[in-house]
Amino acid sequence: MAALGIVERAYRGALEKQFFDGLYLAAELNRQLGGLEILLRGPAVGCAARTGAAGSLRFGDRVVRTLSDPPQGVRRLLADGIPVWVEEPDLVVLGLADDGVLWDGVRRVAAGALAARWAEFRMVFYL
Amino acid sequence: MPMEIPRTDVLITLMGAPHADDLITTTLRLIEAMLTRGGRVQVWACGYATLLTQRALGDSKPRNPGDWSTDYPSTAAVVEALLDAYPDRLFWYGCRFCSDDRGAVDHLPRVRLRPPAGYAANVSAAAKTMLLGVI
Amino acid sequence: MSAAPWSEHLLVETHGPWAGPGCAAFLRDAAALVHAGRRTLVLLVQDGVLAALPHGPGALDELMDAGGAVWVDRYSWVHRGLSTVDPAAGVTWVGMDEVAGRVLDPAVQVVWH
Repeated sequence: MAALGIVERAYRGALEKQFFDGLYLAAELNRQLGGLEILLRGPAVGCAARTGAAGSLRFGDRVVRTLSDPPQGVRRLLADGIPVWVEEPDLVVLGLADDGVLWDGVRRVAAGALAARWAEFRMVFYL
Repeated sequence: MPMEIPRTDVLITLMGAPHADDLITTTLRLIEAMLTRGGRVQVWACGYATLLTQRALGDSKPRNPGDWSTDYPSTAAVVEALLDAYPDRLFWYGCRFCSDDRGAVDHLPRVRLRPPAGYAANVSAAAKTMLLGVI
Repeated sequence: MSAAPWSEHLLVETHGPWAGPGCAAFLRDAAALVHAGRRTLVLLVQDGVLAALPHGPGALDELMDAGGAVWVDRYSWVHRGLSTVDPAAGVTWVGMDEVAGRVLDPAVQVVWH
């Protein structure tokens, strides 16, 4: 029985977290919990956009190229076979509803529709 | 003898916790940009922001099992890089109370711990004071 | 040290509309400053950039109608997957260099939400 992780607040420390953000944790939980599905809602639907990273940052003579990259995080989840859902109304609000804007394989769902499936999951949590 | 506080253009009182949002990323971007423009900046770290400059963080984050050979710099390393590059124009202070209260007791050598009652002196030494995040 | 007279107010919004009513309250403060005849600039950064979504909750409407200036941090926008999205009309893209210029200006009061 898989678990369901809901992400509504992403972007919580690009410099502190770097590779270990909520989506990296999702990949690990998928391995350890015997399966995971991810629902993105609110501004977190932007993580599913097919875009490049915002870029490296320079601090003094040090260039940090390893900041968190949420779209790559979602891409990796999809490559791992993890279902990634996004709530359709949030895509519209963020301007990301057009075809081709999201990574292939991201699944669209009506707001709240996934809750009808909560009984299918061993646990539901926010990530 | 009271600590001498070098005068700066800006005092950033950094209160927000790391890992909660992108406050730390933004703050360090702003600090770099001000220093690049020739500004003089001091930072007073309060609350969980005192964790940023702990020596226990080392130079690097723990390894990424998915990318073993890539180095991921710690926040302490990034602050050190700024202090290295701008030794005469960036000054980093830590609140002693907040540090003790959160077990953040082993700061980088160039972080100067200050008692909370000393904050006014830092404010007086800056042309402008800003508070970023909440304790 | 005596307070410097402020010729401009820079309001930095980092939370955005999804975090609760605080963003709207802060932007209302900005509009009030504009109505009071104060030179006012709002910087949207981090999740604050979401206030500039053209199909969002209209967080900027009152401020823009009042004639307020709004800067949007492009780095924050791109990081949030929005590089294919145009922001609301009338806002200006900036990076940290422009922001630093204002923050270093001793006549600019900075308030950070």
